[in-house]
Amino acid sequence: MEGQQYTVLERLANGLVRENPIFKLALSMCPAVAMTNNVRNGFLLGLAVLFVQVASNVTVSIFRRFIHERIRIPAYIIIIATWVSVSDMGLAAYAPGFYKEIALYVKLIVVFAIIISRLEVFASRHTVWPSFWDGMGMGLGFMFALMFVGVFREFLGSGSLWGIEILPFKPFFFWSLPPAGFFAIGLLMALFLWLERRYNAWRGRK
Amino acid sequence: MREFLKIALNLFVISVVSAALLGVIFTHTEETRKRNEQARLESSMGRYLPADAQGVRFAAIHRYLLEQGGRQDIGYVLPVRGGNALLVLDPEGNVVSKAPVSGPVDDEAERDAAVKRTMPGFQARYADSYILALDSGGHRLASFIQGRTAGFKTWVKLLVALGPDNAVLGLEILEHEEDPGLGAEIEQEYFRNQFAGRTLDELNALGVVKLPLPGDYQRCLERSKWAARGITPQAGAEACAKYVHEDIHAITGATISSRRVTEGVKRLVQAFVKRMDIVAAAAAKAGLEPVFAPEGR
Repeated sequence: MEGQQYTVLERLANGLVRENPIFKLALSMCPAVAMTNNVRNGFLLGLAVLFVQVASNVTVSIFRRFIHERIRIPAYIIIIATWVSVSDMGLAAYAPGFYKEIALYVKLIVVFAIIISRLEVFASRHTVWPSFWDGMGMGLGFMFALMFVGVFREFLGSGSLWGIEILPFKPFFFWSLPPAGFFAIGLLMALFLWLERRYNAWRGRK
Repeated sequence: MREFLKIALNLFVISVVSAALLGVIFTHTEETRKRNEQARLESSMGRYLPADAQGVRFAAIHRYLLEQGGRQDIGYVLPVRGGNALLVLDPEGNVVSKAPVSGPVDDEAERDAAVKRTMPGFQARYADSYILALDSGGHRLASFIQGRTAGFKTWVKLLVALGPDNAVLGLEILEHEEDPGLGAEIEQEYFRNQFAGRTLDELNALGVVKLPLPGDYQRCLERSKWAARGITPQAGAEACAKYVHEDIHAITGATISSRRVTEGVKRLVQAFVKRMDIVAAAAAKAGLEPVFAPEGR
């Protein structure tokens, strides 16, 4: 695999569509269910994941020859936890207003399956530059999926988008409740796959 | 065996590097973080002081639980004329001992050390703090209770502001980990401001109802949006007037969080009023001169 060529665009498209963490890999579904009752939450959590994913990817790819094969999982966990703590402390000190909103999510990231799986599958086998863009692609793909689900649930649940009132009433409050996250993700995952299949078929005909 | 050593060394090095990195970053950011927190607290408190107040001084009372050999006492670190004193009371409110406290008491770690120095041999556990805003005569302009209550998931840290007559001026949520969009709504004005203006008697009887919040009530509760919506302060207060004696309207989908916060506010205020009476009486008996007057204005 080391010889394979990765371009920036290919990595971004991979994270956003082909191996989208939520819709395709179905990893880190807990936050996707819990944190998507509005768009803003999806964006903030996505931002935090993007940073930790890129930083961990780069760190692991730099030190990939140093980390012993048999303890790579604990080593990855330490690396992820370190970056999560660094961003937690840094934000608390230098961006207190932003931190107040995001604090809740940052600490959760340590246990996100998507991050460790990218370290294992990609960053531990590739050089720094492709790993960086792989992290970007995965982070953006995660953010996109969360915001996509967030738009759906916030609009139907609260009649608003990004906290801005659009409808003067709440159409279906059900969509704001945590269990509705399962339904929303299932429906949107089906829609996402259907669209992709249609697109591929259309490209195949051309 | 060599493999074993290599693995152990490898993991050890990774841990040490990561610990060192975290240590460096912690020492660089901790001071700033504490300053931010203090600034946020001060700006929260400033909102509840009268706009024309002159020469406001803040005095903090810190409560400690003291334990020695199965015996439990309560220690109050009080600001008195010329410094701080530790007043130790038994659970019935009788004076056990008093002693001056040396050293600064504003920082929690420094204060813990000072209390330990004053009461050697005791287990001292910090409980909570009351901050009093005093005018030049030592009368209370406002009191602030910093406390916590169980939320739906974990602790919710609250700041309750009380007026001189112990009526609630306002409620601030300092820290919480409730669910975004549901329990996290406790930090919204339309929930918090329902507490403003409750007298002590009203608070004692305050309950939570699962009724939708009327639209005009919500609009007048959202004070920070008054200006943008063209509501004058007078019109806003008038619109709220007919609702101020209703029970707290629970947040839709977060009845438990709403109920816990309401219970927490009631408990904190009731304890504050009771303790302030006990402390004032005990301090007088012990011959201490606190910087605050025994009663509000």
